[in-house]
Amino acid sequence: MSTVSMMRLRRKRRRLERIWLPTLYLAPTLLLLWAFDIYPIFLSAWMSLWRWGIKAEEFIGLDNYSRVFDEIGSGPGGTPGEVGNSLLVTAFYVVGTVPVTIIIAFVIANMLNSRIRFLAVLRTAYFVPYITSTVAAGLAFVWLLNPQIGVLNSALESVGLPAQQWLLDPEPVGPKVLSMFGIGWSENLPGFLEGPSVALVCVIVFSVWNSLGFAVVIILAGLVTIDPQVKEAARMDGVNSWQMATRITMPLVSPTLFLLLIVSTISSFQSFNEVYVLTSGGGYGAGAGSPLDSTLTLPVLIFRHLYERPSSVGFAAALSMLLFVLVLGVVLLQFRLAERRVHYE
Amino acid sequence: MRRVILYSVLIAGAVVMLFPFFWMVSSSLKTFQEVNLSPPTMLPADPQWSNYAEAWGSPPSGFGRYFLNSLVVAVVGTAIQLFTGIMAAYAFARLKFRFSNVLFMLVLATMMIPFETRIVPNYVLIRQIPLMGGNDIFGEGGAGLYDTYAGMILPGVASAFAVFLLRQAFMAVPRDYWDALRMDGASHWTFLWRVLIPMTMPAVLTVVLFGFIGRWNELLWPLIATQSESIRPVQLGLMLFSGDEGSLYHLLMAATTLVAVPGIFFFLFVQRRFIEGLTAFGVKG
Repeated sequence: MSTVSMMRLRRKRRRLERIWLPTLYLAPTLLLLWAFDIYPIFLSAWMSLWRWGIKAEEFIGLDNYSRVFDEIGSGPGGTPGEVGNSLLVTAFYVVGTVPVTIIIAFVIANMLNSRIRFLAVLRTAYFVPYITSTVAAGLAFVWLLNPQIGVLNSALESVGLPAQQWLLDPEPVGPKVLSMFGIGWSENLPGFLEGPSVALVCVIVFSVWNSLGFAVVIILAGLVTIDPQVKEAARMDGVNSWQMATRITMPLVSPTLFLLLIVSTISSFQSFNEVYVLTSGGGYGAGAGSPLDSTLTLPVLIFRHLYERPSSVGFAAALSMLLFVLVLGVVLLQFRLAERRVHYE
Repeated sequence: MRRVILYSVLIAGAVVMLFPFFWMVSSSLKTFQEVNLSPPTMLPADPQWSNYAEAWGSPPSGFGRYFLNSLVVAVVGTAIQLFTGIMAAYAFARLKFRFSNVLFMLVLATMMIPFETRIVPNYVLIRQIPLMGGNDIFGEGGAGLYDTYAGMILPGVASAFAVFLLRQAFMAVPRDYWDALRMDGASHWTFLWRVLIPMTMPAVLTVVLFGFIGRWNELLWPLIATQSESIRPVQLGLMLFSGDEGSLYHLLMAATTLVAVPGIFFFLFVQRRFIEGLTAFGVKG
């Protein structure tokens, strides 16, 4: 074979390689992502237009969505419907977990970042709840919060405070806290101002405890990249610790904080396990969302329709689309509002 | 003085973080009478190690079966995730092809899709896999992959996070290595497995650990995708147990400890790699 034709052959091989090689390497991932992550969005949108049990039964157009809006709207006496209630519970949950987790984690990470002994041990202590399965950690919490023989109530009683019902208490915390100070609650105020139920606050505290370690480690990763000379220079200029945290450290780790905000928001909107384990009352979750649906987040409502009401799979699909749009909207909003404040180097 | 405050706050925080675990183990070693005492005792008067044997054997098929199922799902799922992730990451990091940026963005965008949005359609989807579980070629007539290991494993097995992490690590390896090997006539395949993977072991291990722990702790999808207790994972076994024996807190805490401890030990064993991997490849602004 002549040199010319060999070179031509090699060039042809190269060109072929440029097409089939990436195809081969990417095919498994792209096929799996298409089948189980991207296509399901379209399937879900399609299903939401049907009355769907085990399989498609009847095309009903936007009826599922009008049912969603019906169940958002007020029921008798100005109370929200099942969907409206779950939106409110989800909002309480997201607002209660995301900012609180990030703020506490920021403080702890800063403390861990200041050349201390036993760093590894302490860091591990904060990380262990995150690594533990939600079921195991959640059941340990259910036991701590047991109203009759739980250790938390025993501790309260030993210092003369009244025992609480914790996860079984559907009463909103707003009026409860005010009544401790002898202030009454006006019935004329809108219902959502009364705040989340005691049970939901317990779930929120559990979630913060559970996810704190992850946030601490992520923020620590951002903190260690800060040049110590910057802080040293600031200290020379007489900057105090508060200014150091808010004016120097915060802007320098703002890309990390922003990423954490986005990731936590997405995962907070889809929190299911926390509510499921803490409020189902044991077994396969017949009670998830109790008491009185005061911990019924949107994901748990979707689960309820899917698992306990097999005839309303189409409606569950409509609810998933609502969740999808909601998460997308909030994340885009965060991008618009927060990104200007993020300092990239 | 500052250091005293620092240490007190950090240690108090650590105690709060760890107390539920201490209480779980302590309760798991008490007798039925002692666990129901009010006010409770801090430590068991006489540790009842037999609680663990009793809890282990309590479900009809024993906890062993549940542990085995979890192991199958976690090991196979992690292996597939790692393999597909490495291949895709290599293509994005090293191969030149059209639309590579668009495709990479598309892969990253899948991280934004909430899990619950996929649950409803995937529940329908796995029943309609053609030629499986008595289905015909159009995916009709049978149960598809419903109530099978494959049905539990496949959705979510391809991970955009894994692809992203591995791609970052691959890109950090200088091009010269590839150029040198190319001269010797090595293929992409050889370069990837003989050179690149050994050089990026921390990233690979991080993917393995995240994949394994994520799978091991999974709850919602196995609950939706199965109905037979004989193939359900250990998290579901524990939920069922909490319903059946929920008032016997000493046994429930023994079972909970059994489920929690392997993960915690696994983590303690590899935690330096784990946290370093997260630190090095997770986020750097």
